[in-house]
Amino acid sequence: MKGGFGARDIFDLCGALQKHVKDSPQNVLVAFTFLGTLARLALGGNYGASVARAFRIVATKHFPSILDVSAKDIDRIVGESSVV
Amino acid sequence: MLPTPIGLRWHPDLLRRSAVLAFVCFYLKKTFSYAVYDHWLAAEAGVCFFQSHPTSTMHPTTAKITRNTIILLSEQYPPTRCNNVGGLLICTTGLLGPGGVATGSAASRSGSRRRRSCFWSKPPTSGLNLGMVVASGRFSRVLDRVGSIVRLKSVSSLWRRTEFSRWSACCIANVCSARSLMEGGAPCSLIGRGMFIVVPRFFGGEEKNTRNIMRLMAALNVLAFRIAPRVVPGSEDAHMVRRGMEALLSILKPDITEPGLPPDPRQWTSHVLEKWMGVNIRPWRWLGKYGLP
Repeated sequence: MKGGFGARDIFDLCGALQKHVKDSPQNVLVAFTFLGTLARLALGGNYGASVARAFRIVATKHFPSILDVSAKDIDRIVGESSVV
Repeated sequence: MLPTPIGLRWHPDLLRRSAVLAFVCFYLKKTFSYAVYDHWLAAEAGVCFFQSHPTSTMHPTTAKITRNTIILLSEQYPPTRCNNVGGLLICTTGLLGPGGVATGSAASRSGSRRRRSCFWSKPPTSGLNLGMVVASGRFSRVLDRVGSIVRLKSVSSLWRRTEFSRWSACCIANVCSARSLMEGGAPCSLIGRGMFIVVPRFFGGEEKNTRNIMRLMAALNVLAFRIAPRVVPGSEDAHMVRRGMEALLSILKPDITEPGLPPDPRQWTSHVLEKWMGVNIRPWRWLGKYGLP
């Protein structure tokens, strides 16, 4: 692994999360939503935005409504589940 | 032809070539430094978490930190690049006093001061602005301060006398900003307040767990070192990041069982230190793939 944190790492996380969709779907939904933000913030620029878009396309396969999730929705989802 | 003091003569074309060569060397050095820095952060760093009190698990009487250890205190420094990699890096924010409260006032400022202003409103001057400091086998000049408790004011002078000030500045500043980011009010047992620790990964164990540890720690380090300085505390992004990291930890952390991170994250510090002292791996050996020695 050369370089730093990149798209590969984000999709690695995505792959690790996919195994937990059935166990804790709410937490995975929140984490998926976060990974898009993570790509945009950690990678930055047009590249970060394009990675975030690509990631959301993958995430919508598991959660079709992920595009509509906002920060308030996250609070509601977290309230329904037991996070940490 | 230009005469030189030692009698040689420089051809103008030779001068141009020398200038180009110097520029290339400078660029390569800069690129290499950044590459090592990012590589270390993303792949080599192993554990990154926060503790509730700077001295709860790192008190000098209970945890002896010896060689290859760097313990840093928070200070008001802007992030900068690092030239030093390796060694156990421990940052105590020491933000318990009223003078040391990170306000996260980035939104109120702009331009070049933004990055800095989200770390501290002012240098900490009162309260429990104490922490353990400084030991490293690579920086022998500070070995006499191993395990000692110093006030933050004295840390800056300590840094000026040592070689690792760049690295420490980078980490500390981002740690402070990460803390201010995470202080949004979300109750979380793992991402709390106080101490931030990054240690190179030296865990063994199964491949699955190793990769999960690395993924999780890479994300945590990115949170501290890249996202936190870029996000305005209290914003929607900060909220999303906080909730997302909590969810990520709750999902992936149960997988991290082998080779035995304690179930209680607050015991990770002492556990890691015990491992560290027992394993005795040279830090520069970690620069292999994923930090495997």
